[in-house]
Amino acid sequence: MKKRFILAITFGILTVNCSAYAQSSQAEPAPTQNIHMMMVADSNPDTAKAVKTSNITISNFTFAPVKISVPVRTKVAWINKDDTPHRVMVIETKTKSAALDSGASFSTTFDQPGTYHYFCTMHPIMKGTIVVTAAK
Amino acid sequence: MDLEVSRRKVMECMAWGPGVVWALVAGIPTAFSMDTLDGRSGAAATVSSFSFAQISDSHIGFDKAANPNSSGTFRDGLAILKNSVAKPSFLIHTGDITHLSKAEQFDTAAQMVQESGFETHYVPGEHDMVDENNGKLYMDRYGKGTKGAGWYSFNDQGVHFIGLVNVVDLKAGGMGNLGQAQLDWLKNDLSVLSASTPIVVFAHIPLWTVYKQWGWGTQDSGEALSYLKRFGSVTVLNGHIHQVLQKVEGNVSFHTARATGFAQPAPGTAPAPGPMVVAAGQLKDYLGVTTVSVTPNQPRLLINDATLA
Repeated sequence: MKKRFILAITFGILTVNCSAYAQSSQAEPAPTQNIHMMMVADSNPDTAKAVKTSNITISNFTFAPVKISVPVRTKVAWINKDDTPHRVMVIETKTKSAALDSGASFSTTFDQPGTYHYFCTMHPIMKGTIVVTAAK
Repeated sequence: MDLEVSRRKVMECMAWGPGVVWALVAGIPTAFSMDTLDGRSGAAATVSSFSFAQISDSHIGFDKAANPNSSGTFRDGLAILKNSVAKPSFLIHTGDITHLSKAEQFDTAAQMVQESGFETHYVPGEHDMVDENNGKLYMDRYGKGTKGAGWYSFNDQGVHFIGLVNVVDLKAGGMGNLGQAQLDWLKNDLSVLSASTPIVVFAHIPLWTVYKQWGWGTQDSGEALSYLKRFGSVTVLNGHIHQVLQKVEGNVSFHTARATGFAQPAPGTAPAPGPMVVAAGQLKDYLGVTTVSVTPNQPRLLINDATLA
């Protein structure tokens, strides 16, 4: 029993590592190792999403809020409300969105605690910060 | 004092343009090639009188309130140039050909340019490099014979033209970016030219800082401009800001062109740059094309901006 528990934990870490920075365009694995997330996760593993979504609005060439703090495993979504495209890139993970036309959005999930910096590759004057905190 | 250097300096100050200096030799006016005099080879040939045109920021595919028909206004811009009295020898498109780097947007632009009959030289804008392969569609079309991300130079009728790319590998918090590889190439490209060779540099984002708060400038342009200081005639043509602004600094004339795609606000007059909706019926007052005339012995090229109105 004890051995099975250790194996399960190990698998959990591997899962987290492998799925780190999964983008919304890919099917994200259900967070099976995290009990409190399971409670609110989509019951269908094929469409399961991270527990919580935090939105960042792009408007007037500005990210708002420009700095957010979110718990680990939060899905962060950028929504472009400008009349011109923007393209988000997270520097630390090299995660890059497509060019987001007006009304388009992009999301990615942060599975590792830390401070992440992102900017618009088309208009690099636009930048923001995401602080991902460890689960309590 | 080094007599040779001194003479070269004097000659460079005396004459611009055709690569020819007239001097009295035994009482007879005689033409000397500047290229011969300053010992550099590979310089441009004698300058002709001719004109070329700049068209910019067509943003094919843009259909928002600021201009629901960007294809139509691009066609209008090309028609103005085609029907002008002094028909330009060729066109320079200073980027943002498309709005979203889509194949069909490149196709539409290429078809319209082909219909106009103009030979056209391109540099990309940031909107042309956002396909999923980070600029492959642009490079497949316009990258042949270029270096790096699409920079190149060519000579035409005695003028040396340089197309620079300052829209790739942009750094967080920064503005336009040329990068060390392109700067090294530029330095080498210029090194063989006589100081009397007229230079036209074109790139999408302005090579001078128009408005840092909106990223309207190129962070390492100072280095590029330092290579151009010894030349008697330098003209820098940019787009990106969708409005006419000019500045003269020493022998360098900076000029930005209107777009054919949509208007943008003047620096600092709006919360942000981006498409600006103008009063009904006035859009064509804000859009336009540019003609540049080259005249031998005139270091300042004549730049004429025409609206689509």
